[in-house]
Amino acid sequence: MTRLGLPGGLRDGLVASLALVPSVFVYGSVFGGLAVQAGLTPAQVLGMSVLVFAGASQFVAVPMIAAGAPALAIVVTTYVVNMRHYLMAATLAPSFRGFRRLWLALIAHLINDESFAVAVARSRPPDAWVYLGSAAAISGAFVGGVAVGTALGGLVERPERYGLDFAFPAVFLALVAVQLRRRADWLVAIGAAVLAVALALVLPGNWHIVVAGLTVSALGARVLPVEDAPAPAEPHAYPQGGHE
Amino acid sequence: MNETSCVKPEARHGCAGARPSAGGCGGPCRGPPRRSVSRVWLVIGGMAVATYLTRAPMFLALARRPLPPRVRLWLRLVPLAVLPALAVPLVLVRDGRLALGLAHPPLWGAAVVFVLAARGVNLLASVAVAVAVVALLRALG
Repeated sequence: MTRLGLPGGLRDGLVASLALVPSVFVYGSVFGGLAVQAGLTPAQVLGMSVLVFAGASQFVAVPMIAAGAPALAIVVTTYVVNMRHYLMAATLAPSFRGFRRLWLALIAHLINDESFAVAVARSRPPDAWVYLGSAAAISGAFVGGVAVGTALGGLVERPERYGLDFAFPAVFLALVAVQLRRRADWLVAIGAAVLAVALALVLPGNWHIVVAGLTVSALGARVLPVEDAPAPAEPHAYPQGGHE
Repeated sequence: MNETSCVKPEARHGCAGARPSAGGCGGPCRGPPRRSVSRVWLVIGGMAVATYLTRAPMFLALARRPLPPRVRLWLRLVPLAVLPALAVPLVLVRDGRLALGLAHPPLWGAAVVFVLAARGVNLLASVAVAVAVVALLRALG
């Protein structure tokens, strides 16, 4: 990876991500449309997408904002949903030695599932420039999609008539379904679902999400055999990075 | 849920623009169920900070040593626990009670999206089919 001139890896990363660009774009547009439907202003939807830039957690936050959940509950839930970034950041970090800290602080904001998967699939350890090329493509596609969805979303008048309110839980269920590979995964997912339903019936607000999510995952990490997790040097650990 | 949010300082801050003299949240706050614009921005700001805190620390530390295996396992399990914790109550709990009847369209939508996605159907296509199922069942019901 040359640091002078146009690093070849940058282009490689961009090209390797093109296959993902359409679906990230559509995902962004769905988010933009639903968020406007839920009552956020277009500026808020775009601002959230640029400042938070983490699709799953944004999908989580919008119905909570719409339901008037306490701000703290929304922020803590966002944090927990995005905790997977720690894993990706730790895997990517060594590839970025030699970058200036200011750049690192900016690049950190661009950590995302798809670019991580692309960079890790191409080389281990991942190449910094491939990662950056991918992050450019993915962030552009996501924010562009959100902008388009925001513009189109206002067109639908009674979203629940078209089942659009169900799009939020549907996205979450689809994201879980693709990650369930081992028997332990099922145990954790079902355990969390059962505990969350039980808590939702007794706890106010949306605290059941954070409480059930953290409790059951921590319990799982404590009692499940650790060889269930990939060897520390393997970046497989992140669910979507391990497709191969 | 609106009741509890009103006692939070953020909520009061949100009301302040409209009714500066209103102390506390008893009456004036409660008007139409409109979310104050500044409160939403406050939430977005909090989300941005919280998310940056999941990205930057490990990245800036340029850690040489990988995370301990148990921690890696935990971080891998968190989304697997949080997503069902989020989705399943949205489907099964309505107004603080269990909604388990077969006439509950989201239940069917949930089954459809789960099976399709688990079988490797594209995520957005699975969601679109499930949404259509829910819309159809509501139209029929």
